[in-house]
Amino acid sequence: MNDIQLPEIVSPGKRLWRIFASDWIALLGLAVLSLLVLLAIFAPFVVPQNPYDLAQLNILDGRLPPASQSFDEKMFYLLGTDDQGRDIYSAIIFGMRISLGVGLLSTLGALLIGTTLGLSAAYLGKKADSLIMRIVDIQLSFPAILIALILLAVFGQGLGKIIVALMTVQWAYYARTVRSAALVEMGKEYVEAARCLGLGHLRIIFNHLLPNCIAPLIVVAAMQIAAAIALEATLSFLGLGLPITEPSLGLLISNGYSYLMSGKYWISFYPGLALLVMIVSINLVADRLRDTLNPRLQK
Amino acid sequence: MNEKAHLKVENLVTEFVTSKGCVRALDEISFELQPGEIMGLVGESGSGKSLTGFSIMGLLDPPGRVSSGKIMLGGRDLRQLSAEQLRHMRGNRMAMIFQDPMMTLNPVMKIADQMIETIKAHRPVSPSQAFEECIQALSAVGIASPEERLKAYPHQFSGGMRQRVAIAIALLNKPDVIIADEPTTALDVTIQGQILSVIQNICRQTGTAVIWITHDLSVISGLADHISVMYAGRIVEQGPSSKVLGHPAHPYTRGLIRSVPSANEPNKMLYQIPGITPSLAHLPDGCAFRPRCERSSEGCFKKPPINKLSADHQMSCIHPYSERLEVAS
Repeated sequence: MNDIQLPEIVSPGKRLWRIFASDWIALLGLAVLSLLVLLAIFAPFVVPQNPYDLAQLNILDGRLPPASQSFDEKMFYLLGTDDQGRDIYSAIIFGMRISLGVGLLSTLGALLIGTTLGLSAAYLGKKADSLIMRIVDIQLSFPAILIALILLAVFGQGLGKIIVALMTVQWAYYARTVRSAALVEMGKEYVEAARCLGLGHLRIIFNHLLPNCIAPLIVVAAMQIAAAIALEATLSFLGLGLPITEPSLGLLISNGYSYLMSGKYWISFYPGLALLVMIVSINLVADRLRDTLNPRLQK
Repeated sequence: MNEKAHLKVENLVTEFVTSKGCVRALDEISFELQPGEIMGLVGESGSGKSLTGFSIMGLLDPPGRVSSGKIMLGGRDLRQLSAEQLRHMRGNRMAMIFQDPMMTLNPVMKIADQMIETIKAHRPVSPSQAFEECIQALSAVGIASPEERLKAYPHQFSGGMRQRVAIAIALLNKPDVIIADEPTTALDVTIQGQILSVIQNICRQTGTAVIWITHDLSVISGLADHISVMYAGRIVEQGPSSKVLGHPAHPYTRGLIRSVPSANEPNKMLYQIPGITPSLAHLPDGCAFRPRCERSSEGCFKKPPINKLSADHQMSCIHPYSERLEVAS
């Protein structure tokens, strides 16, 4: 009996990685993204200057072009400086730190809220379903930027408030996605079978339904991180983000905007480039994730 | 072996209340099941077989509801229990096996997790003991090298193996009753035979009673101790397998038996019961089988009484057949 050849048991994670890795563009995106994340995490160790410490800034170094020496010849500004003498390279790395942090935290929060509400809507049905989904409909009928603007205008600025505003804007996408996935899964017999086995409601929702709805959620979450980063940059650009002493990428772009026409392109250009590379690499990874997790798109 | 409770269903009525009115889907279903007994519940599609199963499990989806009758399991009426108490009965004292083994296992959970979860939902057992019980349950249904198989996902099993796993899960908490809803319909004939013998052995050993829902009389003939034949939400004939199959008294039972294709009679037209199962919303007056019956008469416009042919064989028809049905098989 024991000499039966069992098929090789490949864990789903390993299998999906093999599919994911078969596309080199996605791998490139993942490599760039990992590099950016590492840079953001170890920001204080890879930059010559703390861009948020005003004592380190020298106004005499303001608006220096890329690859120039500081006034006292102690610093080398690879990507130039902004109008306050802040090293653009350092500011970009610190800015990415904020952008990625805000993107991740708001996505995570929105994911938790949206998933819980969406699953509840699908599982409870009837009135709870109608109520939750009508709120989602109303939420999604307003432009995201408008809601975020109103919230920030009412509650004021700050890192925490931006994250809350982004969560408020984004939870509805997850609720809608997970509800539609869960409704399909609810019709399958394993849910009926789980009920027949006397499992509790929470166990059925989180152990049986959720894992089967996770694929679309991962894809939406990956896309929404990029959207959250872009939205945060937009809000900062409009001056509703973080205080001017702690510029994020959006605010850096906004600061340099007034100098663009006088040939001092680098203050806006390099932060913009960093934002672009970050969002594109996230989107590349997200796109590939979507293809990986959708069996119909596989050859 | 601990003492198993016996199941007694009395005058069970299940109705669907819709905007178009009330549809009586089960009409006074009664039967009794001793520990270790296998009862075949036979009938065409839409006759209420599966609905009987779901009514007993207390898992009717609205607008369906059990409106009267008793479901006694071990002296307790399941209809009087709270939702929470009933949940503890499900999977513990009664379990269900479904038709399609592809669908009843959660595709993203390992077999071990699904089995352990079922044990832990009802009994406080240590993880190692739970794992041990899973191995025993899988061996009991004839799965080779269960330790390795437990680590696999459902898609790595064949259909027959999956149904074995589903049966193993149903048996984990040693229930009093298993409701098997056409569990071999989706499997091929050889696998079907294996599954039947697995079920039969386990019932005899553990004393678990089985309600075997099927439309296939050939499956039930070798397996069941008792057979109940359902038509349009009513049990039309009920009795020991030998009597129901050997001396079917109800015209519908006869029709069903004669419709089974027989291997020994080539070149012979297969018998068909004329017409189709009536819609439950528009049941004919009196005997529901009347429009399709070759023996119908004026008397059939009244609801037929229950006709006891012997102590354990009863049917509801005013024109019972008495002669033996000869079927080559």
